[in-house]
Amino acid sequence: MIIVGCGRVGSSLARQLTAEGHDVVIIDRNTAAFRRLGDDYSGRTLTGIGFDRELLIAAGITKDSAVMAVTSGDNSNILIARVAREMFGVQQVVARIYDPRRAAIYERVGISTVATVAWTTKRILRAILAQQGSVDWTDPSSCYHLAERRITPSLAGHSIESTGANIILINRSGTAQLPMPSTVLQEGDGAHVLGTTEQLEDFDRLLASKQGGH
Amino acid sequence: MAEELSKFGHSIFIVDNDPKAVSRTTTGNPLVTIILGDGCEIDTLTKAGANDADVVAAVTGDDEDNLVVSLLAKQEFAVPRVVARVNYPSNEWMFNSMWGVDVSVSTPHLLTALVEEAVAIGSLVKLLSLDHGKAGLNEVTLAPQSPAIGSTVANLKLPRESAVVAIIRDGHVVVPAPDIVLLEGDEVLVLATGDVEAELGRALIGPK
Amino acid sequence: MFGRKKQPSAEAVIAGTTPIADVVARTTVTIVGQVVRMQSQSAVELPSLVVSIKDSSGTANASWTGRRSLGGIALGRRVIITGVATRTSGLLTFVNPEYELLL
Repeated sequence: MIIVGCGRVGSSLARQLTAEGHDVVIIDRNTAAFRRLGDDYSGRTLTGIGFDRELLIAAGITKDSAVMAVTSGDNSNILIARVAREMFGVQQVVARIYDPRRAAIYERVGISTVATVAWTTKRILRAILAQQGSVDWTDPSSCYHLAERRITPSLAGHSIESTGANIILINRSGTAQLPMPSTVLQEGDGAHVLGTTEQLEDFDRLLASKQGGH
Repeated sequence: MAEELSKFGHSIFIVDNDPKAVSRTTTGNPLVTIILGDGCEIDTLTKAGANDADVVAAVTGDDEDNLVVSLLAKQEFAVPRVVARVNYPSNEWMFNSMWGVDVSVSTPHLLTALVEEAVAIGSLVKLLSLDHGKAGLNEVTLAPQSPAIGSTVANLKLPRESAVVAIIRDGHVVVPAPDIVLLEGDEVLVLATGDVEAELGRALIGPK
Repeated sequence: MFGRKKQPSAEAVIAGTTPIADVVARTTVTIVGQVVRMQSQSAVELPSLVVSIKDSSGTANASWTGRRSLGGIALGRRVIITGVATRTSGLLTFVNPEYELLL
């Protein structure tokens, strides 16, 4: 887990993720920022510029890393996100963007952005962990869960009905749409899926399957 | 840049986010319009006429801003030619079609590149005129018979209105500290004011 | 002469789209067509994907910077492209446009 930007959000993310047992590196241009982490922070810190390739390599970036670009500058966050994704093949990348108009544009270069006015640590964590089998809500009286997943290339080009999953909402390029069974899924779509544990597991398997097909 | 370009009849819009900079820059030039705003915002770019612009030049002192402006210009406005300034050479690798940049200009790099251009060894070449032609940046590659070889920078017999600003040796820039010893093949960059070329030649090339 | 009544093309059925030949450069437009060519540039530092899309009136290019492939975009796929295009030497090119896959 690589976090760039040790402000309020970044430091909070770092603390939370290390507490949950994740391997965390937090990067900031300014060493003084790491004071926010507190004395009991057990992750790593690295001083430097988050879109510098050598620094990211020193941070241990691989294509299986998760990168959260949460500096105070929209532009830095976009650069970090693109370098992580395009240079290092990282799939799990989130960039915090203050300006919602800009966010929609950057979604088009394939960056998952978090641009709500009230972005929080929780929101960012959900975005990044959406790939890792998490669930957002469970109906107490039944076994239905609501989960958010990013559509991978394996499901791109398939209609919703062909997946057999109950996708109730699609988030594409910053706009939410109520899909039809015939709606064709695309890489990068944020899909809200309703289903039982087994159904969600089936869907996660589909997302992870290597068969790209068309 | 805007004043220069307007001499060719181009109409220019300058965008800057700093209110002080904008109010400081008044120009009676009808071809130049200054707009206060963030160039990374679609609305500002639209106000500056990006929809019809032939060229967008992103020349702030911030590489991230320059890259984002370039991407927006190319992606949202289909600007035919995007020029961007590189402030830190370590970022130069990003200034290309990945961010919509057609032409990048890196001042630190420019000097090195100009010098790498096959420059005749042993003769004084004027690279740039500065300060309305009153100062010149000159370059000479030290040939075997140069009297400067073996001398330290401090001991070079250079004319008064001149200074060694850089030495390029084996592709690296060497800062001309006074005790640096000059070697054959060194490319020596000298900034000089006034008419001192003859003297520079005697010091670095040899007697005519 | 007898002529056969022309069937409306599948493209015309989608409202709000413009035939490629009628696109005015540097305006926001939506086109629909079929992927007829794909060129992926894999250079590590400069990956890119250029896709040629054809409708009954002509061909246009869509280029995505920083990606080598886009899920679902393959030869024969019909897509809707929305964006602002440049026209260089007669060829229309969209950079990082919005796209929608059709079955």
